[in-house]
Amino acid sequence: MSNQTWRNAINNNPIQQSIRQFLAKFPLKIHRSLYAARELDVPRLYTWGPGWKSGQQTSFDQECVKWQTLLKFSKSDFETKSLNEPLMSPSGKLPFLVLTTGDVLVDDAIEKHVTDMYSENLGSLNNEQQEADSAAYIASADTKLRNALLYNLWCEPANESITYNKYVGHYAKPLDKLLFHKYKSLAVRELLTRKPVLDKEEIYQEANEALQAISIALGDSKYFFGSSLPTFIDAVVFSYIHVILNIPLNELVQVQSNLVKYSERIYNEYILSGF
Amino acid sequence: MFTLYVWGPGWDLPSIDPGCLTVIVYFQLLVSVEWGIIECNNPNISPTGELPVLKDGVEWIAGANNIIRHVKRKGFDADENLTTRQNADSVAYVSFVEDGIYDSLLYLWYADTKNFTQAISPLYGKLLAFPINYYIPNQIREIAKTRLEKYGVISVGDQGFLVDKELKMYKAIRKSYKILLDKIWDNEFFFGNNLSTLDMVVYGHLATHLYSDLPNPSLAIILRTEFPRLVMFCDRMKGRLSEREIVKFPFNDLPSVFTGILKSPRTWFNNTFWQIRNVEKEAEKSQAQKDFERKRIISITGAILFMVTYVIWNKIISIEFISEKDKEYYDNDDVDDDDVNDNYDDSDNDGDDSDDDDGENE
Amino acid sequence: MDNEEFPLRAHQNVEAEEFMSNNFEAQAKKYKEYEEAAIKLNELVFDTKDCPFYIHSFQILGTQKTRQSLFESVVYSALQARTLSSIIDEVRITADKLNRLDIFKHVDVLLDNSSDPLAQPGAIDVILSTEEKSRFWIKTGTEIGNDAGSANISLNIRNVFGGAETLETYISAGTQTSYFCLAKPINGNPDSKVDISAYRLTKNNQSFSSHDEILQGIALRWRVLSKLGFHELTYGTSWRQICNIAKDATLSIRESAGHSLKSSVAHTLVRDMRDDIMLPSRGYYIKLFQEFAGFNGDVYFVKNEFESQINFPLGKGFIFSASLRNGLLYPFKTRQSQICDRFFLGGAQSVRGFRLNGIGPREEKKDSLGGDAYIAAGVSLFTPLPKLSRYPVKGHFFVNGGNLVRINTSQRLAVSLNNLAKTPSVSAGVGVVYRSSILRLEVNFCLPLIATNTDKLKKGLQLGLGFNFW
Repeated sequence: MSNQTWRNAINNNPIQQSIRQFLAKFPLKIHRSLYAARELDVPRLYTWGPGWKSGQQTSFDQECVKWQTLLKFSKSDFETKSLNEPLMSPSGKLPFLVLTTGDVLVDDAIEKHVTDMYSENLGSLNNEQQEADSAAYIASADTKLRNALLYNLWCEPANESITYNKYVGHYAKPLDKLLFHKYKSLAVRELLTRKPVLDKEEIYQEANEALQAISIALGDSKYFFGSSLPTFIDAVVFSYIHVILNIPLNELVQVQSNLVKYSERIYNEYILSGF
Repeated sequence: MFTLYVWGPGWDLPSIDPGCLTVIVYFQLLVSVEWGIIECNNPNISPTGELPVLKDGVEWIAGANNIIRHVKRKGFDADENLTTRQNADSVAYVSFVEDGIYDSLLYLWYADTKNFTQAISPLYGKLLAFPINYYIPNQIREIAKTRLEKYGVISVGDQGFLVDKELKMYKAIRKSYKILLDKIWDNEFFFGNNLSTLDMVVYGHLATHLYSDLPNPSLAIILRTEFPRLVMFCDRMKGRLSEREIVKFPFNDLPSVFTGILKSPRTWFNNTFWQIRNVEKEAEKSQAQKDFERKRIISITGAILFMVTYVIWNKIISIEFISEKDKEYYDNDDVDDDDVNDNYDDSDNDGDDSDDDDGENE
Repeated sequence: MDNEEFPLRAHQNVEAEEFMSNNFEAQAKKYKEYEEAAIKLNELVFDTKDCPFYIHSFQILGTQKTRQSLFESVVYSALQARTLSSIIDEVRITADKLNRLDIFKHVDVLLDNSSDPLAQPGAIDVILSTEEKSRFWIKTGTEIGNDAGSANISLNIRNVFGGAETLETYISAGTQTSYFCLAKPINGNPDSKVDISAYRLTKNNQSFSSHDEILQGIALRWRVLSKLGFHELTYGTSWRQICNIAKDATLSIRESAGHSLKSSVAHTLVRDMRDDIMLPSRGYYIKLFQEFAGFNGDVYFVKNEFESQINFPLGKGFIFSASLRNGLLYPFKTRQSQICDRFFLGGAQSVRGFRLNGIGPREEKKDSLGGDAYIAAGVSLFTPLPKLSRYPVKGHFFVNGGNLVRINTSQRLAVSLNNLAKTPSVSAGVGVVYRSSILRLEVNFCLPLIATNTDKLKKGLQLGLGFNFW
């Protein structure tokens, strides 16, 4: 007999079959569980919250504002939950998005999800040169503006209490102090990957230069690079400007007026409008 | 008189470090007063611990961007003819190069194990004095690890070798090159027909990708096959630069004890030849495997040594040196101890025994 | 001595017993003289037992590091004795205590007429000659695997400050586990110890709950032996982190990630009258556990657990065993309990016929969420196996089951407890039990009889390896 038929013969052996039939009878009685499975109706974005000022619908953390804004741009249905625990996230950092299928998305995966599913509500850039410019300006925001943000929140002794309240205030003592030092050293570690030494003046000066460049690039248009609908760079720039305007960094760098107006307009049009 | 302290040369480039190369190129093409470089290979002379460092009279300025800003103020401004928008673009693209393009270099040099162990580590070993030649590459590797996390490059094994688990890195590298390509398009320079700071920054970085001679030159291959216009840009820049001389100042004002070793020709000789011989034989075993075996042998040896020391200390096996005089002395002592012990044994049967005697006496 | 032989005897056949008694007869003649002397001695002592004596001095030889205060507390009660019999008893108790403090290799007692010329009549000198045990005990180990290795070292110090304190430390580099404990007997009583400890350990719960748990904390503990049994009273603070949530974890597990700080007082009472922990043939076992958390920290609950087991030998090697356990965790001030405090049920050492932690609340058949109240019971019959009675092997028939539910604090407690009776999980089976010197191994063929649709069943062969079985 060939291997296959030999195996079939063993499996279809009448004794084997009767044993299997006997086993299939057990358990004799099956109850329904008392606990129903929890399922999501709409995708849920877990973020840091609440906002810097009371009543603000945005998170206090810049990364969370960025992804929250992108989801709002796409006009997709989603809800936000602020449990303030980064250990929940697969990357160890908030935010993360849980879809109704159960998938958990972070960072680029969220961008891919939004552009795949909801591209009709997002703008698109005309040509490759503008896309290159977009990537370059996003890089300048994610390096220079982020350096200033991290330094101002975590390395300025005067701001320690507000950062502490937002990020670790909800833990029991002495965990809050331990976790504050842990988050602070993570922020400093990130800063040190871009700058060998943390020089306050240099960091704020470079942030000013970046803000000036971004302001020039935006000019008078509604969204970056003349697009009629917002794109990813609008979410990025809005997240930085919005957070900077709400923390003490506002007094140390100069945010140009066109950026301030831009930020307010996006907040009113997309964030506040509830749907 | 400007003095630039930079990392040393390699692969036909005046410096192996992108930041240093950028400022050298800037000086070559723009600075008309007297200037020179010192290949100091010692970042500790810098106030920030990073090279390049510029010494202008009594002022020390560290960091490529700061040096260029300083030199611009002195009247050597490459961006004089740029429009406001172009200046803004320049700021943005320079940030982009220092972020994404530099990450590509970090991946090529520190995440690729072949490149790191066979080319980069020995390179630093050659250039730097002991003991910082161990310290510096590992320090940069730690930074590389943190920066490359966002591309999905993770640390694997207890040696911490970086592995691109989801192959996102090469996609990201190609995307970065495409952005530069889209910006320069068909032009001779990034902003039309005139040289600007951005050109020099881009050259400073891409030259290290393109002209370095590594066991695994993946970036050079990608550039040559997929982005020929960028290669042409680099070649054009290189051509212009070959006409501009670089003055090198002697390296003598650093009071480091270890610079003597660094300059020893014999060490350099050994390093080169030793490395060539071993490359073929040990190509099979990866660095991770070698380090693991080294650790294993050390731990087993350590455990055996510890056990032997413990055994001897506790006289489980004792090694004694007795001279004739001492031997006699010890023998007498033994006899005395036995007598004393006997006395105790007789009366030591049971507490009851002695009580019995006492009772009778009462 | 009887107890030591007993478990072996339970597994030996009649021939071995005969051999033992023959051996004894051969030696009896040799010891006849000693017997006669001992009988005479006993009579003498019995006659004089009430004569007034007192202990004039206590000499302890052979100690260098032990502190005087320790000896003073140990010998205190002996110094109060006023008759011969009480002196003998107290001195024996003192020597026994010193032995149990585990700092001496041996303690030999010598009672003698007092050699002090100024002593009153009836004075006795007691001399204890001892030899101290070695102070340090270090054990190192390295584990070398294919792609990772770890090293561990444990260091124990006896008699640290001269008062019979013990210091235990254990550090393991690869698993990031460490443990440190300094214990001291109170008043020289080896049955009453106070200790302070600090620990850090990582629990890998990925297989049944898709997360890892890191525990770090310090605790102050008092362990004492009383007439009721063995007590342990602990006051401690513990920092728990639920982290490394797996990619496909259920949402409830993902939302339980985070940090919590538990500051609690706990009491345990254990009364173990069984003849053997691993395969008992007679005796009972009771354990009561209560914990109250909520002094500092952010975890507030009251926890109770009760475990019991009873065994009867039915003769000819048959043993009947029954067990009953239940537990209750009631969170107050917060809406629900933390996953690291909850109970889990199921597995080869818990309720056979179900996978590890396979019973209880679960979403989508994946991750076990744990429960706040449980009840579990089982009966087992151990049978001797033909031709194998020389070995510690027995046949095993069992029926066991249990239930694990969550408590909803917005409802009345009685409603939640009612759920315990609603959906039990029961299984039965047969198998073989082997008791080796360090572990018990069970191979059972299980059939789940009643189960909930989300339980993880183990139909067929199930292997169990461990110390504690129910």
